[in-house]
Formats: sequence, structure tokens, C-alpha cells
Amino acid sequence: MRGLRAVALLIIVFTCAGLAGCWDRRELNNIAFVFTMGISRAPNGDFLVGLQIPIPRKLAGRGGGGAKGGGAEQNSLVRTTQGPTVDGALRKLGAVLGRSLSFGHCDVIIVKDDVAKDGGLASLLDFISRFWEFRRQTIILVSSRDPVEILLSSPELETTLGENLAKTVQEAIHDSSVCYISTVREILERQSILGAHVVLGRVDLVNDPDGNRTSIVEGAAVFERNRLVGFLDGDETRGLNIILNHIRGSALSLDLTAGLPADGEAGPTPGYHAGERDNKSPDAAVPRPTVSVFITRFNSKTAARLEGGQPVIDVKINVTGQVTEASYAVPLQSPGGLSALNGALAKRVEGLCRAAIAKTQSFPVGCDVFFFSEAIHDRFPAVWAAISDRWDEYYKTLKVNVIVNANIIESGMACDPISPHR
Amino acid sequence: MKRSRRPIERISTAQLAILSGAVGLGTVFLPITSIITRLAGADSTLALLAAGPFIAVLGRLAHAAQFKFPRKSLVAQFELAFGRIIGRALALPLGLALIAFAAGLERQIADVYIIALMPKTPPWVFAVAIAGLAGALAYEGVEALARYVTITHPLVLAVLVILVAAAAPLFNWHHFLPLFEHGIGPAFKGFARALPFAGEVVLFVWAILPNVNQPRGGPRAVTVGSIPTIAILIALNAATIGALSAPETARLFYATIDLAKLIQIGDYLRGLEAIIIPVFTAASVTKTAAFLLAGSRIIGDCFGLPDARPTVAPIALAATAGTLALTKATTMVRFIDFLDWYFMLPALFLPFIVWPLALLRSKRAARRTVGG
Amino acid sequence: MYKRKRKHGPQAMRDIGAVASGASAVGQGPPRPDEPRVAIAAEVGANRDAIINVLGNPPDLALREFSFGIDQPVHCLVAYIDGLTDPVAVADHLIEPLMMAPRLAVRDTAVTRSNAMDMISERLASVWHLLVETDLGKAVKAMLEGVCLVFVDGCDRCLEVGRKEPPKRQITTTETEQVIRGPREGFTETLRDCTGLVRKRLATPALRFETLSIGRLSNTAVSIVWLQGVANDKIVAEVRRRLQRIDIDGIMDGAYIEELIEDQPYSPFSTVYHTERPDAFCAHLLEGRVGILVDGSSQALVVPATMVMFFQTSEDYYTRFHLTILIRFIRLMASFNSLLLPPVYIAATTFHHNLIPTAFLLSIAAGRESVPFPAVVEALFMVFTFEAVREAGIRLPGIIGQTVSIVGALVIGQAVVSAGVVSPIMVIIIALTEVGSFAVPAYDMAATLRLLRYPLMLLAATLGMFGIAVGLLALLIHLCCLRSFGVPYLSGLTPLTARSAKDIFIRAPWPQMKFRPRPTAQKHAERQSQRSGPQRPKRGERT
Repeated sequence: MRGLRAVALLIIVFTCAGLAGCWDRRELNNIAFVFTMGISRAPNGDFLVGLQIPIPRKLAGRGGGGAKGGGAEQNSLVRTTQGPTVDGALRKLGAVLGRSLSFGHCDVIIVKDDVAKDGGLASLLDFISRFWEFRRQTIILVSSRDPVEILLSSPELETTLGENLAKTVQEAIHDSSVCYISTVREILERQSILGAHVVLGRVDLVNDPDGNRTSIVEGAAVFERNRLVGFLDGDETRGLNIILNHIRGSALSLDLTAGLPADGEAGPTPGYHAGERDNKSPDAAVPRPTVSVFITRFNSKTAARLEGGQPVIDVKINVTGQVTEASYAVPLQSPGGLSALNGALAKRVEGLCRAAIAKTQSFPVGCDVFFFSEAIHDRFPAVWAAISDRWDEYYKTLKVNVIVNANIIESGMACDPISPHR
Repeated sequence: MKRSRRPIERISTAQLAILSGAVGLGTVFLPITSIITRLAGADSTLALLAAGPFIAVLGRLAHAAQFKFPRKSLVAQFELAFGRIIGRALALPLGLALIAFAAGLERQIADVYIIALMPKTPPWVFAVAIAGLAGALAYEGVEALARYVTITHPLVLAVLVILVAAAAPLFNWHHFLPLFEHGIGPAFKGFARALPFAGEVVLFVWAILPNVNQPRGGPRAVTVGSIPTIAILIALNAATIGALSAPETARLFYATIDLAKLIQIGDYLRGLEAIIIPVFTAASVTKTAAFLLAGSRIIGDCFGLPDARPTVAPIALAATAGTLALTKATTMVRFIDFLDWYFMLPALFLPFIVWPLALLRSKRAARRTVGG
Repeated sequence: MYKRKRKHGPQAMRDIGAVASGASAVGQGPPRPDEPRVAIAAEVGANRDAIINVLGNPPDLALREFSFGIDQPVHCLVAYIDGLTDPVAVADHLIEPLMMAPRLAVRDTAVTRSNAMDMISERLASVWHLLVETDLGKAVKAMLEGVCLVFVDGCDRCLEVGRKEPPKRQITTTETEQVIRGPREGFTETLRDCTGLVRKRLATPALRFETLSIGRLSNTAVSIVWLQGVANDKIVAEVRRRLQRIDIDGIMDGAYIEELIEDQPYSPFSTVYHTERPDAFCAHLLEGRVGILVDGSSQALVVPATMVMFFQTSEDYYTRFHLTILIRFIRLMASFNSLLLPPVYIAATTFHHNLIPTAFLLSIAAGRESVPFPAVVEALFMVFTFEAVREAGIRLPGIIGQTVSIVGALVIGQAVVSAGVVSPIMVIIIALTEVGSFAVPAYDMAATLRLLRYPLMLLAATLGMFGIAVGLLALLIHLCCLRSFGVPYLSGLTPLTARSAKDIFIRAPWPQMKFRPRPTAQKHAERQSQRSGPQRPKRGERT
């Protein structure tokens, strides 16, 4: 009975194992799945952890029986617990829920800035990297509001809030890129690189016309040694994404009130705020002449070089775009028409990048979130060794050149903008 | 009842190639990112790149020396070189080291499961299961092992390639720069740590030497079989450091598990480590069975048993009991390190000592019979 | 050879009976050379009484006594078993010539008592098959197999005339292995018909048959079939050896023989392949395998069997190879489903929730909210129910059976879901599983996979994916050790050479399949010449 003895032995052993008790069995109806987590500080200094747990009965996919979308309270539970550590807080929920928690599908974690300001982020990150259920693709966002409020906000078109947030964060990178995708993997990577600082995306709440409150992801928060240092707004986050080459596509509006800039002239850089649903300019009843360009390809390279013994960073950006909307009578059909906009686009992109760099340099502690330290370290290890212990200060005065090469190559299905015939 | 003589088994050179590749690979892919990255940091990939060809050439020479006496197994060659008593006394620790290594492997896969998938299950379940499977396979002999490996080795290689491919989009070559930041020292340590892996293959091939059908093609087959193994290990190390960065890799227990968790198909299919880690179990059974087989043969030959098969069961039992006595996982890592440095690394160089000695002695014996 | 003229006393009766039933007096083993041989009496009446007594005066024993010859009427007896021999043929070709003997041209020789037997055997009996027999036991045994015995007064020999024409079924379509394209003939229970079907497909002198008689009381004729020069002689010898050592009272079907000659009868995997189709049988003979035809069984056995054979059908070779590749892939997926789908479902929902996509997970969780049982109990319950319905469908005749299967499955499935006993996803899983098991061509293999599903489900319930991995590895190790007549069971898969890969997961087009599979046809490997198939014309050659 060659080989059969092994099979028989195994069957016996495992039947015994089954009788002794299956240690890791968890039936589906003994589990509470956590889709989103929110962490803040309780008044006594403990961690206050909020969890969003969907109720499967209400979310059944059968025939659309469950109410989807309208109000998260109906479809999910939001519960809070507190404890000295995140793990300690979570273990107390057994007394409330009667089911064990499962974090395998936890896509988003929202951290309040008070936790972030006093270094609680380190505790959370350590917990996540040790616990086997968490994945490194989980996204961590920072919020100025109470995370529980965000957990209670509307999940829009998705079934649960977590799904909505995760999707929003990832979809935005294709359209406007005003938010930063901060996965656990990326955060831990930043922590292990000398001189780099952690950036987390920001999440906030807005009021909808239909009375609900929706979460909106815009902007970023910068940390120094796991303590919150400052914020980047939408444009600055876009600049950050551009320099880090994270963008898949982005729409930029070029304000051409001052006409097309000649080479070398700086043009005004209007802002685009995602929060403003209507794009009215503050000071005129006259709509500004704007051309909207959608960037299809971004390519950015960061390189360090030495200028007089001091490291200098060059960021070279290649941008390819297409015109999507033009209310300014730009002669797009003529041979030089499209390229006339290049200068304006280049200025706009450069402006975004510079804004981001300037903001991070202006924080109380200089925060290099662009991996410039890595660029210097890789090429000039000796120079880096000299400045590494005072890098944060050095960064505040670091000279960065942003060189943008813009190329608008398409204009959609039409050539010239609409101009009413007189 | 007549004591049975073990049946004569033969494996072809192609089977030998796959078998040695599989034994070399085993579950090395689990600790390799942690062990070598802790020693060499970001230079570990370079260290492995340097070690790869070195191991291949050195291994080739070692196997050529082994195959000089094709029908003589390890103990027989030792007896030829050192004399009967001393030869057996020297061979026995090697056999015991192989068994101890097999025990360590059982624990290793138990640790992987407990860390990554099933934290509450006690380790004895995994150890007993692997021991049972590996023991059955070792009992059945080299041919059955070769057939088993022909099916599982390509599967394991394919899964490792998928792991590397999953990490490719996240690859950041900045994690490797600057090269040799702290000098050559760390890289050299990593390089040296890679050598014992070749010693393991040398020991295993030595034990099954009489079963190779065409000994002439033996050394070449083993080298050819080792090439995919070396390549995939280097690629895995590179992918891990590229995706996760060297300090983070060194911080983790088994970084390969984290790579497995990174795989996702689209947006919907995640958590595939639950499928990948069971495939690793097949590799673990391979190596444990191979080492139990080799170790039991060496021990059987040392004690003069014509058929070592009855020893497999008690040996497997003892190994499992021993591994469960190790209470902490970190002890296990140090234990494997100890075995690697003090037994497997010398084993890599032993053929160069044994062969000339055996040659000298047989020539002297021939001269004696001719002359006297 | 002794001649003892004696009456058939009681001991002689027992001896006749013993020889007729093919066993020695002790009752063990095939007839040994030193057993008693009972001589045929010179008197017809004594023989007749002996036959009636030893057979227990059966109602279907036909005896015809008559005299023939004019000058010296010779008394003779014709005996046969009605139902095994055609009485019209007996009358036409045996009795009529004997009765007409004086009128026929036996001009120069008169029929006397002394030469009657020779005259019959050489001049009068116009039949194909004729044997002279001296032992009464053997003669009775032959009569039970369908020959006609002729006894003549004054002669201690008898003639065995004619051969078996037992009641039989017409050659019809195979019921279990149907094809859309390809021959539809199937083996029947008559050995002679089966050998005829094989002979007609392999019209070569290299086709060899060797018939043995197995079974003490059934004396079943079993034929070993092989192609000389193609099959491995050692395997033929081994088959013969194993068949000869079978000592059982009766063989009712080839399945008895299958279990008695297998290498490892306790393994769940069958190492002997059986088929109802003559074309499949002959194709395997062409590959160098050895076939066994069993009288009374419509399934022919083929050894040595490898695992790959159980996943192939003859239709694969009759459709174009493009479709075959797809079909073989689907078959493989279906067999994985059949074996692994319930265990993986149990493991995923009980241990590895991360594996299931989020939306799907909520759906499953919602379905399971009202179900009181754990996933494994659910799965076992549904699988058992489905198997019971399936079994019921087989037992009931014709259209009722099919209706019961379908309606039963649907209604039960719907009802248990509505009652909240089982979650809806479980019904889908079980349906896919059972459909998968139907897709496996060989019933043996399908049954094995169905059986192995249960331990895998239990392993999955106790240890999740690790349990499944351990179960599959245990199976793999078992398969690696399994041999069928010395040929490893996993032969096509390991080692995977270019030669063997052409016929496992795909089927290479016929011009590519130049070699027979290795283990069975080692010396005679080339199947077709290297130049068969479309060839590019040489330069200068006109097409």
C-alpha cells in the first residue's frame, strides 16, 4: 500500500485535529467586517477608534432589496471604542458587538489631525504592519473633522463609505489629482528613506444640495517624524503629484485675461478649487477668457547636481495635453496656434510645482516630501553625509529649478473655438 | 522475515536537474530577503548577483568531484577517503545536520502560516502534516520524489515569477542607490551567506549519487537545474527591495509574504496570499522530504543497514518532536543559521578534500596489491 | 492414458463432476495434471446416464439417440444443451448426414461399429468444428459451453461438435460513451463478437489473442489481446501471469478481473481502464497497450492505464484539433471544479475572508445570515442530497428517471434556499460541481473525484487552505507512487517531454503525432513515418 499509509495517517490526524477544535474557523455570520476606520483622541488621551461595519442583511445584492446609498446609518453600523493603544481599543469591542472583527476589507483609515499632531500615527502604522489582516494597499487619510462624522456621511453611489472613499481617491488621480493617494506601503517606504517625510491625503465634508453630507478628498497633510506639520491645498497637492510622477491625467485651466504670454513672460495663474462647484471669479461679472487643457501625459524627472559645491535640484517635466474647452479666441487651427498655448501651460504647471515646493519649505520644519534627499543621496553620497543631520533646515533654502516642457498636441473634435458671427 | 534490500532506483539526468533545482530552491525564497538584507542592506541584490555565478561554478566543480565515484554514495566515498571508522564518524554529523535542517523547515512553514494566515492554529498541526507528507515521500524513494518534483517545481517557479511581476509596477530603483554606501563589507557578508545554499544541494546530490542513471551528465545537469533557482532568488530579492525598500525589508519577518499580499487582480480579487502560501507548502514538502531521504540514507549507511527505509519513520518523528520543542521563532532562525554556517558551508568544500584523498588511497591500495 | 472399462460408479460421478467444474477433488486451484480422468464408457446408455446424473437431470438437456448404418446399425447418442446450441444446425449438419449415411457415397466402406467414429468425424459430420475427446468430464464441460457431444456404441471416444451460439444481444450503439462524430458500434457480451469487432479494425497478422478460462464455476472465457511487435512483451507476460493466478468461483463482469489484477486495489484511483468502444480499444492496442476481453461483459479492459487516459475520449481524435484543445481545457477545469469547488468555498468563507471580493462577500454574508449551519454542514448536506437524487434518477427507468433528476434538483434546491436551510450560493456551487463531475469522460475517474471531494471538504473545514493543500499533496504523493503494471500512473505528465505533451492538455494535429507513448511502446515507438502530413515541395518540384 505504497503511499496510502501516509494518506491514512493524515486523515486520522486531521480528524483528530477537527475533534480537538479548529482554531481559526470563523463563520461568516460570526464576523463583523470593518470597512472603514477612524482614529482620533479621546479627552483623556486615549485613542478613540470609530469603525464602520456594514450590515450584510441590509446590503444583500439580491434584486436590489436593500436600500443602497441613502444614508449610511441604515446600511452600516458606526461604533466607537477607546483604549490606550489602537489594538487595545479594538479588543474591547467584543463586549459590544458579539462578533469578531475582520479587517481584511478595510480600505480606508481616517486619522484626525490631533492624533496626527502628537505622534499617534506611529502607533497606528506599527499596528497595521504587524497585523496580518491589513493589506499594504490600505489608504490612510487625515481629517480636521471628527472621523466619526465622516464615517456617517453618505456613501454616494457605492454601497459603503469605505468603497466610496477608496474609489474617489483612486479615480481622482485621473481627473484632477487634487488629492494624494497615501497607501500604507508608500507611507512605510517614506519612513525608511532618509530625509523623506510622510504625506497623507486629506478628507473633509461638504454639504450636498439634497441635504446629505458627502466626503470630499482634497489636499494633503505633511508630517515630520509622524507629527503633523502643515497642510497643502488642492493646487499644491497637484504640484506634489506632478513632481512625484503620480498623475495619470489632470485638467488645468489657463486664465488668459492677460493674453497669451510671450516666451519668458510670467502669466497670472488662476487657481482651481474643487470645492467651488461654480467657477465664478470673485471680481467680475464678465467671464474670464479661459482655455481648459487636459494633460494626458506627465513625465517628471528629478535630478541633483552640484553648483559650487552645493546641491541643486533640477526637476524636468514633460507635459502633453489636449485642449478640451476654449472660450478664448485662440487660433487653434493655424500651425502655431496650439503651440502658442504651450507657454501658458508651462507657466501654469511650473506655478503649481513651485507653490508646492514653497509651501513645504515654509513650514516650521522644512519637509522634503519630494524625495529630493534621495536624489542627492544617490548621486553625491559624500555631500549628503555632510548635510544629512541638518537636512530639514537645509531644505528650507534648497534651490530647486523647475523646467517644464509643455506640448499641446490635440484639440478634440473641433479646431477653432466657437465665435458667434456678428 | 528477510531484511529487504532496497530496490535499485534510477533517475534520469533531466530528473536530476529538476530535483536539484527544487531542493536548492526549497523554501529559501522565504527567508532569503530577510537574512541577506539584514546583512547587506540595499547591496544584497548585488551580493546575490555576484554569488550566483560563483555558486554555479563552484558547485559545478564540487559535483564533478563527487561524480568521480558515481556508484558510491556519500558514506562510501568518505570510507574510501578516510577509512571505515573515521569516514563513518565524519559522515554521521552531516546526516544528522540534514535531519535537523528538515526539522527547521517544518517549523519555518508553520511560522509562515501562523504569521500570515492562521494565527491561532498551534504549530504542531503544520509540523505533523509536513512531516507526514515528507516522510511518506522520503520512504517511497528517489524516483517518487523525482516525479513529485517534476510536477511541483514548475508550479512553484511560476508562482515566484508572478510574485516578481506583481512587484514590478512598484519597483523603484532608487532604493538600491547609492551602491556600496557603507563599503564592500556588508555586501561581502551577504555574498558569504549565500554560499551555504549551494552546500545543501551538494549534500543532497551526494546522498543520492548511486541513483543517477547517467553519471557523466550529472554535474552539468545539476548546474543547469540550479540556474532557474538562482535567477528567481535574485529577482525576488531585487523585487522585494525595489518595492518595499531595504530598511523595511530588513524589518519584516518574511518579506516574501508581504510581496504575496501585494498581488491583486484588478480591484476585486485580493488576498491571494491564501492561494500562494499553500503552493509554498509544496516546496516545503519537497525540501523536507529530500533532506529526510538524504539524511536517513547517510545514517543508514553509517550504521551498515542495507535498506534505510525503515529508519525514515522514526527519524521523521524525532525531527518533528525536536522542532516543536523550539518555542520561539527567532530561535529557529538562529538554529538554521548555525546549521548553514557550520555544516552546509563546509559541505560545499568537502568534495575537494574527499576526492583527492579517495584517489590517493585507492592508488596506494592498488600499488600494494600489485607490489605485494 | 489408461483405458479402464468400468461402469460409472458414485466415485466416478463425483470425479466427472469435479473435472467438469474445472476443480480438483480438494477444491482449490485450476485442474491439476494428476486429477482423475474419467474414461468414456463404450456403451452409449452408460454415458447417457452419467451425463444425466452429473448434471442433475436438467430440463434443458437435449438427448437424441438413434441408429444409423444399414448393415450393422450403429447406436449413437447426440447430447447438447438447449439454448446454447442451435438445434436446427445440429439437425441439419449432424443428424441428417448420419441418418442419410447409407444413401450417401460411402461406396467402398461400410459403416461398422469399429469405424463409425472415424467415419463420422471424417466423412459425415459436415461441420466446421470437431474435436475428439476421451475424458468424460471435459466433454461435459465442453457441452456446458455450447458444443454438441456425439457418443457411439462401442467407442470410448466422443466427438465435440460445433461451438457456442449462446443467446446474445445485437451490436448496438454504446450507451455510456457517445460521440457526435465517430463509429458507434459497441462491444457486446459475446466474446466472439467482440473479437470480430477488433479483428475487423486491426486486420493484421500481428494481432494476437490468447484465451484463458477463469472462474471455477463460471468458466468464463477471457481473452488477452495485443499487437505483436508493438506491445511490450513483458507487460503481456505479466498480464498472463496475473490472470492465471486468479482463483475465484465466478467472474460475472470484467470488473471482477479488474480488481483482482490491479497493482493496488485499495487505491481510489483505478489503474485499469475500461471501454465499451472497439475503436478506443483498438487505438489503445495501437499505442502498445494490452487489452482484455471478457465473455459476458460488454466492457473491455485496457492495461497499463495512466491517469491521462481517463481524461481523454475517442472523440478528441475525431474532431479537429483546435476544438479539442478547448474541450480538453474545459474538461480539466470541470474536473478541478468537481474536486475542489466545495472545499475552496468552505475554506474561503470560513478561514480566508480576504480572498473573496468585497461586494461578493457581502452578498454571501447576507445569504448566510439566516442559515443556522456552518458552511461545511451546508455543503455536505447539499452534496449528499444531490448524489441521492442522481442515484434515484439512475434506478428509475427512462423518462421518469430524467424527470425526477431534474425536477428533484431544481425543486429541492429552491426549497432549501427558501426555507433558509442552505444559502443560495451553495446551490450554485453544488450545481457547478456536479456538472463538472459529468464532464469527466471516464466514469471511474469521475467517481474517484466525487469520492475524494469529501475528505477534502473535511480538511478544508478544519484547516482551510492549508488543509486543502495537504490533501492535494497527499493525493499527489499517492499518484506519484502508483503504478499500473509497472508503468508509472503519471506517465504522460512526468516527465513532460515534447513527445508526451502532444497528447495531454492539447491534441496535436495528426501529422505531428509521430510517436507512441513511451512507457508502453519503448522499442517500437514510431507510429507514422516522418514524412506524413503536408510537405513543402522541394525546389524545382512541380506541385
